[in-house]
Amino acid sequence: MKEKETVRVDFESRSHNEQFARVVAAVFAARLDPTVEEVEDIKTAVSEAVTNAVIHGYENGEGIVHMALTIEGRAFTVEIRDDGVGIPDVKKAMEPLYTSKPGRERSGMGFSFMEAFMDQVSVESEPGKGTTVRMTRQIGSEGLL
Amino acid sequence: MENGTDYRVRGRVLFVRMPEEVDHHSSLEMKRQILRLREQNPISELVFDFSDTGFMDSAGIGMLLGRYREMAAAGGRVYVRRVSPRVSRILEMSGIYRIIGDWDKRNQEGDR
Repeated sequence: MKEKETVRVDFESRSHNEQFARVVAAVFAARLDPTVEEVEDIKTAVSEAVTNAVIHGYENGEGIVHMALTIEGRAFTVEIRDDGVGIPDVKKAMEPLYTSKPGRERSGMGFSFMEAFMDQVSVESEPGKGTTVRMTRQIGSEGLL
Repeated sequence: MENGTDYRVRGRVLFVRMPEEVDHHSSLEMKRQILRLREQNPISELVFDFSDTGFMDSAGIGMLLGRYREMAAAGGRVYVRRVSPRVSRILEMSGIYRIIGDWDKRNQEGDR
């Protein structure tokens, strides 16, 4: 498959949509005939990014989470965007075990899991504007991880 | 709630049969239920049974850590049991096995 395919889904920032988002991502990624492990890795990474948007981006309030899924060649890319509060210091937010909400039972492992399960993770954020997480995984390339 | 989580108290042990997917959403409900059951019962050991669970993300780790802190503060302990390879990988990555043991291994070893 050479051509590029993209689907976009917008959904409300609610915790039960975390499952919805990762299932949609898994179904779309299935077009690349991934292994069970690759599907699980993608589901985990998507769940982390969407949960961050719900809890941190929109601080458990109202908002819309935008998900864009793209397949190009063997590359699967997922972009999770929110128009929420943004992250003042992205580098710090991505440090293992760092959490901006220590009292809220966050493990501080969200970004670490995204980086462990995807080949590339990039985060763009602007305070007051929102955050975009873009993650890519090559499907069918065991040994890369 | 809708996710098929089951709670059983046997003596001073609370067994929580985890849902198929442990994420931020399902963890919120588990936290509430465990808190309520601990208020009503003298619980000294909390056992998370992953028999039905195929998915867990870092929110699940956060929930386990939160329960560990509460139980440890009261002199209690937390265990997991029947983890699938996927869930075990997540648990290993988090380092949580350093503080939370396997219930069935503990009972085999008989260190009661």
